Amino acid sequence: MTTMKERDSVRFRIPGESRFLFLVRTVVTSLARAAHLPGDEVDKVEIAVDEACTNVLDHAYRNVSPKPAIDLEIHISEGQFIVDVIDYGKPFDFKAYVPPRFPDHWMEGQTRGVGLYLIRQCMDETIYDQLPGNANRFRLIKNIATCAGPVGAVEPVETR
Amino acid sequence: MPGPSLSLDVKKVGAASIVFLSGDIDASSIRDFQSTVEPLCECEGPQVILDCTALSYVNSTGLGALFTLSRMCRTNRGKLVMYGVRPKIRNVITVLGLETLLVLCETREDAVAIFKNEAGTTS
Repeated sequence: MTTMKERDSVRFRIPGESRFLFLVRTVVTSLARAAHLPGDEVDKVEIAVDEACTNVLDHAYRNVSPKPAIDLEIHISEGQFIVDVIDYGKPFDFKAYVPPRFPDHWMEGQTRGVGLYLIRQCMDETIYDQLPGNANRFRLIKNIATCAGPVGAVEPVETR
Repeated sequence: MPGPSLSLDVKKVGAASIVFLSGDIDASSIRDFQSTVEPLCECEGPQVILDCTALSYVNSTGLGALFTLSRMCRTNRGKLVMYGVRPKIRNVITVLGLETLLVLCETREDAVAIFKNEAGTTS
């Protein structure tokens, strides 16, 4: 397996269709393993990126046809594994976001906001900003150094 | 090109329906999953067993759908039971507070036993 090193960067673009999410998960998990993230942290990155792309399709690109592409850039910088999810749709209002409270959220039949909650649980840091050209960037950050030890690790998770 | 990421196979075993899931439940496959499993939950006293041993990934929408289907079964005086759930998916179930709302078993025998035990206590 190849190794992903400091300053390495991989960019790719998928059409705005859910059938390409499998491809996103495959590429991102391969690169996370190449960055030597532990298996459970690779799983978390996979979940966070999939949820971020799903949110783009469901919300930023809601009622848009055809849906624009989604750009992904994965790079390592200063000991951080960083995934940028870039869309060209309606910006998300983070100030209006209220995190769900479980299990009440489910019992009340609500479904919104779960993906973003999961993203934040899975990643060490998230940054949302708007770029020139009507683009929105959701930056998902995993600190590689803090992943190395057993502290904070959850139960072992098998790889796919 | 990526195609459908989930395969579903339903088998009747006595009064129970066992759904063998293989692949991923994500935004591209959630409708297939719901349209296959939901009819099984709509009858009186549904006994729905999900074989998750080959299930690699479930997103948050999929877990929400699992809760909705499980609740539908309970409303109809039945149950939805999952077995063979991989640790990776169990971790997400826990993070989302669903561990007490879904019925998870280790093996198919455990899942079938739940229905047998319930039949025994109600007869």
